Amino acid sequence: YTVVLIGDSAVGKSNLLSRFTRDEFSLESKSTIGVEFATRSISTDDGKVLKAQIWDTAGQERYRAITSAYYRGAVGALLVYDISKYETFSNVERWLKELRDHAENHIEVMLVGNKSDLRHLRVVMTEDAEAFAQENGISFIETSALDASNVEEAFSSILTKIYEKVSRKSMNSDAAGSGKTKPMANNASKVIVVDNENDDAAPAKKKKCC
Amino acid sequence: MSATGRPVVRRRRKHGPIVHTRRKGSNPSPSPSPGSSAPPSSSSRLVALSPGTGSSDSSALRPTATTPSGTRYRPPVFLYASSAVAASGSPLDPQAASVVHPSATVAVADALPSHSFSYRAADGLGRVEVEIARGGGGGGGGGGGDGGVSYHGSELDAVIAAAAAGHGSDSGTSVLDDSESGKAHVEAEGGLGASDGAATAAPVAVDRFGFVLASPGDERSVGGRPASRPLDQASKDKESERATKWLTMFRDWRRWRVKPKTKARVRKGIPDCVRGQAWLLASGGHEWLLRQDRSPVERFLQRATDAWAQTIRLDINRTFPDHLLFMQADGLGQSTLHRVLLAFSAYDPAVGYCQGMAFVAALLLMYMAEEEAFAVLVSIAQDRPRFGFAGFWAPGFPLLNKYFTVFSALLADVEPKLAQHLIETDVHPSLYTTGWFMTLFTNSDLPFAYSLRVMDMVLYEGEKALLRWALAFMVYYKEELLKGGNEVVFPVLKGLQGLPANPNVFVKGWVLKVDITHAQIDAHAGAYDAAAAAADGET
Repeated sequence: YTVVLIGDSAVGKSNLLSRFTRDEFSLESKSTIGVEFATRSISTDDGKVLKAQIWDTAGQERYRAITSAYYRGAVGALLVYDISKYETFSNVERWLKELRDHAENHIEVMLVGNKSDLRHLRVVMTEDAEAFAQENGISFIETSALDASNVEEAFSSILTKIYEKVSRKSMNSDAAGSGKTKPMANNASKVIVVDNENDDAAPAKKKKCC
Repeated sequence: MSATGRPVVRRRRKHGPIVHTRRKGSNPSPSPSPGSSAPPSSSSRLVALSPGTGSSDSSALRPTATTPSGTRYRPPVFLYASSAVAASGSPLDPQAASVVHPSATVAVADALPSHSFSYRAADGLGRVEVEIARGGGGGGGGGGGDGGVSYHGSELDAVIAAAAAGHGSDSGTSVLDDSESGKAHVEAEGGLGASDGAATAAPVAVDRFGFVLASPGDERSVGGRPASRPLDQASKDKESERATKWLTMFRDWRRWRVKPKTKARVRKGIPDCVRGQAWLLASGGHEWLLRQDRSPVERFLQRATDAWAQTIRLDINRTFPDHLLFMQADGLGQSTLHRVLLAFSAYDPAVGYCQGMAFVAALLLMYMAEEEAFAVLVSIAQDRPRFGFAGFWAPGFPLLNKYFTVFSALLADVEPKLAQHLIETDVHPSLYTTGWFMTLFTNSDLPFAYSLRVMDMVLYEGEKALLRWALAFMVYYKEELLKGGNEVVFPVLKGLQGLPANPNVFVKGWVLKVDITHAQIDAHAGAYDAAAAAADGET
């Protein structure tokens, strides 16, 4: 599944990604220029292995000219803000609009309040974010890439939701992508289901793109 | 600084073309604020000592003394003792100061990036004192922090090509200012010493270019960049020899600029000790500075907006956070970087600030003072058709979009099979070239020596060199890239692993082998423009 990480600059998107895919966190992290990419597989309760392709995007507004092309193929989006910077939360609405404009209609969105370790600096209340998420019909979680809390949960929850959604729709999701122009043409609605027994060494061959 | 008992050679600064300070009546900018503010620029003195008297320790770096004075930007000047350069001399190796006191980070950083000095040995010369012009900078106030820096070390004997050195320090934040006297000392002798400001933290290890290592000898910096090993003696000697040639070139740059020999020398790599000077001249930044009335950074900072200041601030501690100069929160490097970028946002409001620019500006600041870094940034942003890189950073990324097309077309010319493969696997150049182009290869995981070589060529040759480098990496990794789509291509082109340890090998064997012409680039760019115009017409 293709999932994008979006949100304001310096909210911790790249560290969430590195925590999830490599279990690494760096205080010496560098600004992301353009898009970055990483993959990881997780197992579902019913024994399926879900392979996630995650696109990490630059947060500065003008970069949407490039990054929005990468929303198109995504079936999930983690919309990240920083619980210690209110502005990053107020901008969430704009990011949602951005998704509505550029992503697939059925994209699964999860609001992520990152940097939950900064308790003493918190300015965005959990209840407010929860309420906002409910209003907008998206899920919500608070994470800390630094102490790793809820990072695994955030990704596996959105991946599982996508998996369930896709299963329910009997893999019909491909239709949604057709008809749109895709200059990036990056694996639109790429769904990769790898059986449990198969090792990850040769995932390319196991790909089933619909 | 106590005398060594050796003869002292004192050289006054030779002036390049002088810029007169004329205040245009129409210029709305107020003069530098009085009182707490330092003059907008100051001159510095560089004192090089040769202890020479049987000292067994390796070179020590010891910046001391600051005396801001003077009031305007002065063009860089090149000075060196007329004495013969000793054949055995080698440039002061920053590695010599590889273990420093973190509390003195700023002070060392102040010394390290000033590669625009050339240190050469001249037996018996003993001591050289040079007054150097330093770029405006310093405007932040305080009065401390800027100015004279003196170095001494056993290797460091004589000849100094003093470029505009010193750094526009945002006073009040740098270690230099912590000392009541405005002095800072860094002693690398035996590993570490006390700085005036503070004295008790653990030492920090850095690589050849000042990237911080968790422990000496590490393969990678704490930020993951491949560590650069010190040069071997033969390379040092060669570099010294080349540096001397460059000094000759600087003296008559107008003539040398257009010589084929200069291009060849750029491609061999500009010696690190004269790199800042060469970049300033090659990019046209120097000429731009000469046309300025007075400190352009100060001037534009006065028009800067808070909105940009905040946006820029988000990236300041995420730009080379593993480099000595930029690792310290609000240290000299970070505050200077902020000033340069903020000044640029006011200079070119259409561009403002774009993520990616910080890496370019920071790399420049490792080699030159803030006014100069600003001037080079302005040149590469605005000077067309040679650069015009503002188009990489402006909203809508006009030049970047064009480059995606031009790059793809050139790749099809150079490596048709690979180009076809990337199209078939839906790997768009935006995935991997965005970072390359927007930061001019400075923020990738490329070994730093490579980033410098890219910069050497790009600042001298312009956009074609940038495309050549990009294509060279494609050719180099061709076999791996042919193995898959995004999952394969991204890590390979992001990681840029397994390059020849010696960048010369790559430049000669790959970059210069990329056979593209300006005509070719223009043709592809023209096709892009036509298509874009047609698309505009339709809508």
